[in-house]
Amino acid sequence: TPTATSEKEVFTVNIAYGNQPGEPVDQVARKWKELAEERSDGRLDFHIYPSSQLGSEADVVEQALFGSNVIIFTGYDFLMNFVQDLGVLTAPYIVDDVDDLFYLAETEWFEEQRKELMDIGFDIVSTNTLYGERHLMTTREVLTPDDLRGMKIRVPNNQMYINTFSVLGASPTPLPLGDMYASLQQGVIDGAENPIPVLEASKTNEVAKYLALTGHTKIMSPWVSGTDFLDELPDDLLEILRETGDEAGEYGKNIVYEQEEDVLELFEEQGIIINEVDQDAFKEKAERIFEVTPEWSPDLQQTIEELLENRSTTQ
Amino acid sequence: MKRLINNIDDFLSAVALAGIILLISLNVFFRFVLNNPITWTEEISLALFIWLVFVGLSSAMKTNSHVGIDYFVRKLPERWRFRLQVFRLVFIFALTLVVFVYWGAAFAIHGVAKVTPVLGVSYTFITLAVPVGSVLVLYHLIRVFIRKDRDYVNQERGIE
Amino acid sequence: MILAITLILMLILMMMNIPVAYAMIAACAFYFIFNDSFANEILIQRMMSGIESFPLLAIVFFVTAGILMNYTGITERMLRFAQVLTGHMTGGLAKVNVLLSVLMGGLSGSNIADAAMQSKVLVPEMTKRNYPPAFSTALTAATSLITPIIPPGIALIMYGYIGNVSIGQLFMAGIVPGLMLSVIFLILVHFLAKKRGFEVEKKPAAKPKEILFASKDAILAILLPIIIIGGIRFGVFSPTEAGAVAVIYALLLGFLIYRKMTGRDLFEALKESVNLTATIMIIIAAGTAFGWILTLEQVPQFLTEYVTGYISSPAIFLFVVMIFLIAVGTLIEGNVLLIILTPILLPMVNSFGIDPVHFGLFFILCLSVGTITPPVGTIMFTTAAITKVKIEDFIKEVWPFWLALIVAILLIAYIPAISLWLPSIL
Ligand code: NA
Ligand code: NA
Repeated sequence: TPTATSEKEVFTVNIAYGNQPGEPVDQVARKWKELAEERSDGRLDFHIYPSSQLGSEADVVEQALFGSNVIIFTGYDFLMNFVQDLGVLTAPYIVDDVDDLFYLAETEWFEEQRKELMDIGFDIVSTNTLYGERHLMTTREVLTPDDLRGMKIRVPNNQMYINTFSVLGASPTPLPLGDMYASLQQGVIDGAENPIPVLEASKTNEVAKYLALTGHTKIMSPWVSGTDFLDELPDDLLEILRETGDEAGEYGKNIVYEQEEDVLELFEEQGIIINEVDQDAFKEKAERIFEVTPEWSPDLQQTIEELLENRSTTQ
Repeated sequence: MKRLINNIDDFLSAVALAGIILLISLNVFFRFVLNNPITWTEEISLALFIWLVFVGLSSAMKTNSHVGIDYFVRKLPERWRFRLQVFRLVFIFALTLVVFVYWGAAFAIHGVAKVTPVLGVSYTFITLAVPVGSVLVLYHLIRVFIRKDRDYVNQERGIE
Repeated sequence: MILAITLILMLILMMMNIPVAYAMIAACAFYFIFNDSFANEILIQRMMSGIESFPLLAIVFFVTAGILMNYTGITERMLRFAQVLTGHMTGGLAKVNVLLSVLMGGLSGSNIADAAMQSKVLVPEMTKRNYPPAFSTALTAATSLITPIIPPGIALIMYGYIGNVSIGQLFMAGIVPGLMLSVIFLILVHFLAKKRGFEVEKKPAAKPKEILFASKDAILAILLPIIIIGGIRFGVFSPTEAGAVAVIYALLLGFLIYRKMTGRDLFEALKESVNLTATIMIIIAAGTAFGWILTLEQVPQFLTEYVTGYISSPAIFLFVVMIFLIAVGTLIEGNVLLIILTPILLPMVNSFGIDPVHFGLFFILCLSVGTITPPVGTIMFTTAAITKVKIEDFIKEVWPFWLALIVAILLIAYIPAISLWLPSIL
């Protein structure tokens, strides 16, 4: 029974992400803090931890599983470790447009995956944050999938990106983001892939002169917490938490688009050779992602295609 | 048999170390010479490394090699110094039992959902190093208590 | 409040001779028990995360490589090489002591291993030639501080990893300061030997043939640091992999070229390496957990705001940091300070616009001063324990070296080019 004191009880919410202060994700988190603290009248007390201060993605997710009050910015490629089919949202060329991704997050299919996640002990607090579109930056020019053959491309250390770059024909080389610059400079790797603001932030443009606008993966990323912690929150606060999270995500989308444009302009000024590539050629190669990922439900490709077709016919 | 148990920590961690050295060198060869990096060497090496460290704790306890500040203790009269050194071992025993063994086991068992990024192996296999290595630490400390090994307590030597 | 108690508890336990790692873990456990936001088991996660890092894996390799030197016959050859170069000079063996640290510095990442080895091998020889044991011990302790800044070095790896600074760049940056420090020591030793009459009698210099013979014998061992730096520079391997390569190379020398090593030796060397690695890594694990608590409590931000509010210039900042580090370094173990202070200091370093590579070299040297300073100095205790020299006598002999170190630190602090020139041209 809620009493006068428990209505005033303050809940600490620790927000964790790997991105640096100033990046769009950081701005989303700060907006979220502002909105949530204001609307809850201070009963939600946000602490913000950028730059993986509380630990790696996997570690903070685990902290959530152990009932700690953290909300973490993660990816469906990572949640794939728990619910395999969710990983498809980060598969290469799975959608033509980021809005298709946000549409998928509103479907019945997504809701089923989310339930599975909740059975394990996680829940998605907000799906609304855009991370960007991943492109390829290399030390040698890449125009077609054939150019990629044998090139060592740095990827995040997870199966989704390793598979993506193997089906595209490259040699995926998992390395920490912090080692990317030196490895490119020294020729340990021939290229890196990420949204271009991230490529710029890690100074890839100093050591790799070719940017191929492959757009191989478009990413929206979820904010995830443990069900133990979310169950502790009074209903009204949970409602505020979700609502303000979505609003902050919406606010962040434009920041991402603006940053992408700014960085592209900057690259152009610096003489980076920017190539529009024939994405269809890469897309064709990428189809094999379903073959090399036997962990997925056999009808997953069909399910996603049908959902996307529904969307385009209803529009 | 007893000899085997007494030295299992040295053996396991030495094997882990040899394994890590081989794996990493192999990967240099595969990437640089064959241009075909192995994606899972890092993961396996790190798992072996964790086992090496936590089982190695037992070796270090056995040989009294942990880094401590004995400056103040050495200023005490012999009787008090001995008492404090006994307290030191009892404290390490209790801490190992509660934090390393109990919390460690709880963490390992509850953490099955977390998997390694490339091979997708449950972290439990890695985390178990903490309670397992620490049980060996407890074993050596019990031997010291049973034998009333004054030299070990005074940090004058290790246990054979 | 909990944080303050945690800190006091940690210090009390350390002073009671609870091993530093266990004292920190106990204090962290106390914090977790009284913090509602995070489950107790997360302490284990934070400890493991301190170990589970690919860059830190290099530590085990360079520890192993350092220990293998003594089993494979590499140390002996290095010693002989150093002897033909400076053995005939005034204060010959004292100069050999300096030179040997430089040579070993290119192979080993651990100054404790280096200091222990030279205390066993060189100090008795020096005593035979009428050097006071306390002088030889102080010299050995001080010169072993060259080892960690000449690449490879464990402290460089740890700093680079924790502070997200390129370990490859730090390795390059360590070369010139390391050589500079050795030159300062050589000059100092020369004057001390002259003044106190150590080996002042004229001795014939080694014949060219002898030099040739000794360098031929040592050349394969001297090549190793070149392979490491070159391999990293030209992208053949990462700093971590360079460590594994160093171990394999040492083994090849020991088994196939010098043929001194046996299977039994290998097991003993691995055992010794594991032992030393575990004691270092558990401190790193404990320090990581403790550092995490400080971050959770947002201590670094608070301190940065505080310090940058009072200090306005980078030059004053470096000086204040130097005094602070030398002071706390006399009480707390260097690795522990490195782990705790790197995340606290780097935001300040950045806000003052100091290059983190430059700061790293400065930082590590400042911390090393504490290891030869009472009351708590790991290198001082290690060397004095082996040579059976009283700490009081050690202190009387170590102060000239201590001053030389301060001079080197000031030079490195205020002439950034000493550390940054080499990485900028390579
Ligand atoms: Na020396
Ligand atoms: Na070194």
